[in-house]
Amino acid sequence: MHCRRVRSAIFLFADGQLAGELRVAFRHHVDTCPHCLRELEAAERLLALLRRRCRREHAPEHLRTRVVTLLASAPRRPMEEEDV
Amino acid sequence: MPFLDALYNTALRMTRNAQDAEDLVQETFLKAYRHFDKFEPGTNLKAWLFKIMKNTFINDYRKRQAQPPESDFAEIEGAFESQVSEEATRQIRTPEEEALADVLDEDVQRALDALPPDYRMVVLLTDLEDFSYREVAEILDIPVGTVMSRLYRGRKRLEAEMLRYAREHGYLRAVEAPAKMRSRDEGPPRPQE
Repeated sequence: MHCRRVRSAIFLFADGQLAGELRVAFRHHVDTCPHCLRELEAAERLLALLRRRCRREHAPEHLRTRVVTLLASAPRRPMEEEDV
Repeated sequence: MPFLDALYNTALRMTRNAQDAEDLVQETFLKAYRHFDKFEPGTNLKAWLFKIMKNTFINDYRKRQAQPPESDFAEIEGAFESQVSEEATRQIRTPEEEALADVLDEDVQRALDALPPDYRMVVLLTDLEDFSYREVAEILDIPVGTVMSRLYRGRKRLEAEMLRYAREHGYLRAVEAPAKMRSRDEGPPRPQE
């Protein structure tokens, strides 16, 4: 596997979407190529940053109430054993 | 209420408006309830709800919001690997980029909000909601290759945007001197073939 191919697959590897021989070949390349290793580390840092720093908004309590009330009064209950 | 927070969080980023986000989530649950017989037991309930929300958004909200038309990414689909690799091998990492770890939370937010909707959705679903590429493809009705290309471009744009904010804030100045020293010592990275 050459640099060009490795770099196009960096996010796939970082996302755990690369399997089998491809994953092994990728790992082998980055273990021996400091430039690609640096790219991989940068990609992993970016992903960690996104996961850590993206603010997660919680649904307001009134929305929860609204949805529950709405479903409770929905005209048709398609599943008779919906609560099961 | 399963996945209410996750749905609301994504709805808010799709509609960029709390009231529309609440309506979208409410509509999603109502449709899911009415069509629950179409849900296949054993499959991913969260992905099913997100798909309903995506469809509802496209059918009801996007038209109403009169947003600019979706970008057409057809031209990049299929040519993903060659384009990406061209771009990737040109890249030279600098300590500036490594300093991204210092960006502010609101910069991450701003950068995400500034992404084109198609890119933003795949980033949100993958990076915040932890869906697999295949699940994202299923939710958005696009090929897995398109998920990959949008994800790549979306993340790269995010990175560039956050770096720009970091420069604006001026807190990257501290790394300029080491950056110069380092580039003199090491020279530009040379891809091996």
